[in-house]
Amino acid sequence: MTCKQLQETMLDYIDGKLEQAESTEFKVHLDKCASCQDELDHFLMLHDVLKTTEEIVPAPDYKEKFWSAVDRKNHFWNSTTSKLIYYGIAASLMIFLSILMFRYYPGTDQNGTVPKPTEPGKPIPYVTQLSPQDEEDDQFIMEMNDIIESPVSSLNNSFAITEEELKSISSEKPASKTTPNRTKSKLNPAFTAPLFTEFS
Amino acid sequence: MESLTDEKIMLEVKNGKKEYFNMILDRYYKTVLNYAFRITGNRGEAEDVTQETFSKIYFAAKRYQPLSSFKAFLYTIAFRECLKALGKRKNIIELSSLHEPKSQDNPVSTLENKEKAMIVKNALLKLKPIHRSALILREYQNLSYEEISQVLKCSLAATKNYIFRSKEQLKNILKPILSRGAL
Repeated sequence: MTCKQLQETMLDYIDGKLEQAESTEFKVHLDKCASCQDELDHFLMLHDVLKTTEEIVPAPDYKEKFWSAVDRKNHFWNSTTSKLIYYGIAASLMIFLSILMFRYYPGTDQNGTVPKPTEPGKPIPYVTQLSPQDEEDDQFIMEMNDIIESPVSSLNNSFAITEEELKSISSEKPASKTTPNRTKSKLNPAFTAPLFTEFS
Repeated sequence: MESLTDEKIMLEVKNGKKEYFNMILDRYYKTVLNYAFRITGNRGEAEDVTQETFSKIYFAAKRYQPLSSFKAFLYTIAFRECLKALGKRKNIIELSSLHEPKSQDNPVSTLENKEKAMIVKNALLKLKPIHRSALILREYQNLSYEEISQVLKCSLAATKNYIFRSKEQLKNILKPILSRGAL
């Protein structure tokens, strides 16, 4: 056994946990190695020395103090836990209601009426009702689009200004009632006259 | 009732019989108090650590599982509380602060013995907390190496190494006195 091996097994030797063969080897090495013997002596002395340290005893009322501390903690936890539970339920309810409101509340249409709620998961139908004025405007825009996008050759002569209209414009009189084809049109005659005159 | 093992007592406490915890206090309060005292070097801190340790064990009884020895469980919590106390202090104990008035229940009576105790206590406090804890658990609390390794969360070899190193360091600190045979 080397000095290093002896050091490694010293704790077990002191505790009496070495095997018989190891213990014999240990002792053989100690007999011929003064430094290891010295080391072991110091360890054994240390073992005794450690027993001399101061030892304290608990205060006589340590149990009462302990149980009162436990009661205080119990009270704190009970009150804190119940508060946390109430706040948690309230917060969860608010979040749930907010989600419901934003998910299923459809808002109002142009007339200010609230559509009937749809079943969960189905898209909300977008319903609009145009006012008569809006429908008239749409009709006019569609007519104008037809005119603008159609080739010049296909233009109907009915859109062309009539002789009577031309006369009435030149005499600065209001347009007569003899323009049945353009009653729905809202084109300003002053604006359309030069354009359609060329085509006629 | 006195013959109940620590683990059985804890299971009784777990089942709502809190008066059984008094037996745990009877068995271990003093040893944990002294363990904390040797780690922190301060009686006030040791009392706080001990109160906190037993309080945590009491409240942990609801979840207690007797998987390892109760002693290992107890000193694991005590060690953590000691480290917390040392961390709060955030400074190394100065030797001057160790010359505090000692408790009246000091078992050593003569002045020579008091001096010896103080020297050893100071020497212990020079060790690293984990080395100190390993040594104290072995020398004073008589825990097995396996239990100490559970408390310190390290291997068995590392535990033995901690104890050997701490003893060697302690021997070097106390060498002048040991050589003179003053102790």
